[in-house]
Amino acid sequence: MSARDREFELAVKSFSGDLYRFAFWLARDRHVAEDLVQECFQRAWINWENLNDQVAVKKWLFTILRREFLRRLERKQFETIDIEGLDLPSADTLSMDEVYSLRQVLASAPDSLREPLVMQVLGGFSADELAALNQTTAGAMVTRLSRARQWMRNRLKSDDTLAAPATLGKNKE
Amino acid sequence: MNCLTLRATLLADPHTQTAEVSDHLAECPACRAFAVSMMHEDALLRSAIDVTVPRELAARILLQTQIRHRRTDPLDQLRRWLGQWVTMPRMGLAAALSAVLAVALSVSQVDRPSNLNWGQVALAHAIAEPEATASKAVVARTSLETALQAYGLSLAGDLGVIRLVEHCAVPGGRGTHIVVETKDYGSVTLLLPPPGERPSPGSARGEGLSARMIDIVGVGVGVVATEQANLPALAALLARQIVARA
Repeated sequence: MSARDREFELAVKSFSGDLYRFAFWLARDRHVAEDLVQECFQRAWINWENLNDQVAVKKWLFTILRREFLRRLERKQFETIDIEGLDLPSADTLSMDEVYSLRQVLASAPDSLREPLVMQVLGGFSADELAALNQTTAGAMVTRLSRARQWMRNRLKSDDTLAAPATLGKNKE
Repeated sequence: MNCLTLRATLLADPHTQTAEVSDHLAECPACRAFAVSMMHEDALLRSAIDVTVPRELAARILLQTQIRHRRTDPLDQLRRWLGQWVTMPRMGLAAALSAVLAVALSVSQVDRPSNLNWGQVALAHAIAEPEATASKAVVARTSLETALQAYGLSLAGDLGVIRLVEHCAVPGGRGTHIVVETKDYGSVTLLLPPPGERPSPGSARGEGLSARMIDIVGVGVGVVATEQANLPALAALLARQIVARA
């Protein structure tokens, strides 16, 4: 196995899970999400030799996936919201109702708010890195992230149809 | 830094750890409470975002890469890839690879079970699905009973905690993948061939696992366990607890 093979395999095993989650929250469809991750890694493999900085591989993969999503979005608007059939992961601190409510709110968030928020949580990227990934300024990205979290809080607080989790949405001030 | 700036900073990134933030939090109880709530909300958000990733996604990606982009025979590449994990003769490995391919591609018919060492197939299947072996889920006994019915078998006694009962793509069609947490032998994987298929007996070792095919009332069952020495006792246990349907 060549060094390239090893590096690629390691990247697939390390990042395919988070890339799938990112893709899911972009497309809100499991099948599209898997397609996006597959395509992301196929494109990454073709350009692997050009990757000079192995440390940046995660950021690079997220960028490829996002571009692939936007490419598909230009061709066809995704209409499905596949939240109903999700297998819920076991979360020790949360009830299934709470996770489900949060997912509903997240799924209904405007794309411009949900996307950087999911990227930040999954990728651990800083506002500067997210700004570069989204081709915007750091200041604009900070604003989007703040609005995203505030939007989540307000939505959970105001939507009586959702069983709002105990903490998210409450005004702590 | 004042309270407004601090809160705007944490709203953008609850994990921000600058000297200014630390200094302000040290002297402002209200903002400290705000920071704690933001961290908690971030953890909740993480749980919501953390949707279940499809099983074997990484394996499917690697396989797709082999098929689409490499000039050499994908089976040969995969053989090398798996070769570092499983120690077995070349032909045996090829058979196991057929099983892995069947799982990864969901191809219903790569090879006939009768041509394959079912111990090796079961071992490759268990290695390819490590999360199944490590599963802590609890499956109802009726699921196992229903699965066994298709083979003309029934459950006579207690095997242990049933962790997984799933129909999987295996050589020859859809087989049954069972994981049981036994009291005396730990986690044990059983791989049944498609109903009606008669696989070839055999054994294999690799990745800290041992496997062999045992015969239960005419059904060839691949049994995978961590200790090779336990396989005879496990075969006896299975023969006692899984019997022909009345």
